[in-house]
Amino acid sequence: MLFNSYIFILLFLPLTVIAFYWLKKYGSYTLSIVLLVFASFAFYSWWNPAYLLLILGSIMCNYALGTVLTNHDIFQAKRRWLLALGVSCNLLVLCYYKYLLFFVGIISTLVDKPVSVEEIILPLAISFFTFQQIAYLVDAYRGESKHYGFLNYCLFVTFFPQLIAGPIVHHKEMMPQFVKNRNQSLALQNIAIGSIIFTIGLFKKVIIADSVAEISTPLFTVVDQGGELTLIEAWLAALSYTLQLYFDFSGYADMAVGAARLFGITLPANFDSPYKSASIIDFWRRWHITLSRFLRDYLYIALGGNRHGEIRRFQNLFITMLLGGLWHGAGWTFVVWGALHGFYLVVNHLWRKLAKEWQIVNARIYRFASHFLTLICVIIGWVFFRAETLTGAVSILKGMVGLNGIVFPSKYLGRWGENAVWMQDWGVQFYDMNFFTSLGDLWLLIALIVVTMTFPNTYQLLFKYKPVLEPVGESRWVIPLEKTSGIVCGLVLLYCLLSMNKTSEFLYFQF
Amino acid sequence: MTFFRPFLITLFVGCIFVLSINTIIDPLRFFSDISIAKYEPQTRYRYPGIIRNKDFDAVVVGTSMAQNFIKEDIDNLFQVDSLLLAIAGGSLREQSLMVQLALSTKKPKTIIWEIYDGALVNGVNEVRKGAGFPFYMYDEDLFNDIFYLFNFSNTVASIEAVGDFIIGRDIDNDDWKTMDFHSGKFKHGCPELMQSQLRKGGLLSEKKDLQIPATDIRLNIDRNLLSIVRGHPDIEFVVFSPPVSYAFQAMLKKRQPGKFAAMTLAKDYLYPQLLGLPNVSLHEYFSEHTMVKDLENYRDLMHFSAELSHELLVSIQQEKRKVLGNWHENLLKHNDELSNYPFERVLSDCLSYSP
Repeated sequence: MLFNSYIFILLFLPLTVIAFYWLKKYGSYTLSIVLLVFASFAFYSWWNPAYLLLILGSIMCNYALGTVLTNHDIFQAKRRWLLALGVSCNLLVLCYYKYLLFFVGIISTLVDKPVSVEEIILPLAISFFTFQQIAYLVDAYRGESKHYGFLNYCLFVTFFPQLIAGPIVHHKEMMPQFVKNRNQSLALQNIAIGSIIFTIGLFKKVIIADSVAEISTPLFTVVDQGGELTLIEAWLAALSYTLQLYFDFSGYADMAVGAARLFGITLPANFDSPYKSASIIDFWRRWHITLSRFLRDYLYIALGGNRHGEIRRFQNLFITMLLGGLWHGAGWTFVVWGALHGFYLVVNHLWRKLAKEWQIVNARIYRFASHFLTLICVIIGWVFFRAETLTGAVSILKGMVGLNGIVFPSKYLGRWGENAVWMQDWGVQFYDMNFFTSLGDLWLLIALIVVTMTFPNTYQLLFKYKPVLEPVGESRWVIPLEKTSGIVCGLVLLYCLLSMNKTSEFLYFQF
Repeated sequence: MTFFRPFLITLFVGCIFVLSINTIIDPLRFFSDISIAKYEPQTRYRYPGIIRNKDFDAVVVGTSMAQNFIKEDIDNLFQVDSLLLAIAGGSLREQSLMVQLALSTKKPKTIIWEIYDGALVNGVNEVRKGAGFPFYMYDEDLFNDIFYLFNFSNTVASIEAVGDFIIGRDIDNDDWKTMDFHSGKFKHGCPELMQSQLRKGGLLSEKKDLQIPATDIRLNIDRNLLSIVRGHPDIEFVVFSPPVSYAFQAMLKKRQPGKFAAMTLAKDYLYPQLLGLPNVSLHEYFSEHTMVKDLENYRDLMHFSAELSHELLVSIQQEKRKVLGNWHENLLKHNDELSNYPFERVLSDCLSYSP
């Protein structure tokens, strides 16, 4: 079931909220949790009921193993083996569904023989619930988790607002809330805050992300089919995807946070205005925050972190990002994207030292250049992330530096008069193209980039109400919970609902 | 609570308003032909209502090259009561959706289908880029109609219709018949056609060439054309390839060889299968030199005049260019000849022509 579908917004979500509070008031808290678990299973199986068994099996096995690992009476060596078994099994399942075809492809290329494997459908959310449960097992082994009870564990893994595309929640931040929630009565303030955050998320997805997708998708299709993009087309493609991905994914995260808040649950933030970052290090503290946190706590630190000197630290950083790239998808473009960010981070760490030594960090021009350079690096990364093939990505990058020529629609030939003639002398061409018909799209994209770099984000607009678990930066602009905001929020939600006549999937569903 | 009540009331009242106004006004005349709304200019949104609410026993589908036909012409020549349903820039998928809607609604006896090779090499699910395609208007699913009623642009259209009604603006209830006829709006022949071509689409660029996998082409043809033709053996399909100008074809072959090869492959795949079907007559005009070499017939390098459209219909009706068993040799010969055609000089002469 999609968050941006009528069935979810007009039926599933309101009915579940009503039933949850009704059961809490007139039944029991346990029954309300049972309802949430069943609702989450229904939400998941809406896509493909067959995979319900997979998630159920995964939950039961991990819960059983976690319970054993929590028991410290067992010998340490045995517990280590059990942990290794649990993590391996989780990763094997993930590898089978997500990476088998990719690895078979590599083997097939290496031995120069076609190896056929039946196509495997990637179960929805497998990357997310696998990571969540690995974290639980590791913490159970480390003695950092308690015995929570099967029902609460089920809800922790399947809670529908965060099930499909995160945030990747941690048991330590969810379980205490489930316990605390027991004594909480219906708080209209939570419903109001949840509704506002959900509406903003829906607006980001339906109105902004889906609109810019209309620019990016056909341009990337041209490249995937072997075509070339000229300078402005290539920038249109890269910028529009940069915005599409941000508004799509952060829109989903907002909807998740909003939907969870309707049940009195506060989720962690997954975004903190990532395009405001002044460095790649900063970017990864703001983009997909819960994934970065997982990779840091359970991969980077497990590899040794920064405990074995600079070289090993950079090596660990690079490996972490490489695997982070592969987590997003089984393909060389994701590998390159991860490697590119690993490289960026290493360079960033080295540069930061130099910049401090040279005492240039506080210079205004330095800060401006940092923001600009970070954004360019991120955009280049997204080209690899989006393109179907490495050749396609390289083709777009060539276009972005002008190697495929500079072309404007022919209507500008007349409008720009003498300047156009002068431009032609410098090799600029004027003819009409299918997907670049006006500079209007480019200005729109630049304006949106400026918005993402300067405006407060959803959580900052609601900082007074603790919208997410982490502390949120204050903003001059705040959405008050009053009559006018109610009317505006209602109108925005109505506008989004009316614009949903071409429901599209969220980009992060594929990961 | 100060926030919550206004929020819910706004949402509830807004939903009721939108559903009511769109149900009453029916801005795209989807449910009934009686409405105070004017006909929608965009064919993809207008045709479903026309198909549902008008009588016909034949339809004409295709791209903008089939929009210059005149209904009376078709009716007289083919002895039918036709409906013109050609879509400018229509992909094969869109055309097939249109045909399927017509077939499921009124069961026509004849389908006249203009098949431009460019549509054959579209993606199997390709529909209009940009604002999307109103799939909910192309099926019999009643629940889908919620997308029609609960729709922002339709609400705006309904409000406009109410506004027009209040100020007493007249609506032409017959303009749907001629809305897409574009021949009269342009000058044909040189040098205007070249000016129009340069202003609108420009000349083909080598950089925009595409490599389209054969499997994709076959899938598109199978799913969006052959399955329909085979699934309705009782219906007569008159399929024809339009007379795209010779200069355009030659330019395509030289500047976008990948796409040209894909289009040739599409014909290679499609023609033998259509020739094997008893309910199909196939007609070919891309190599009809008297039509395609005379640039005076064109308003740009693809779109031809109403006169040529009439000539085309007569020719089809008289089966002058019916595709026969030797089509493959003819196709190879035609493709060879295109290589030797000096299209650059022809186009340059056309641009500098002064009558």
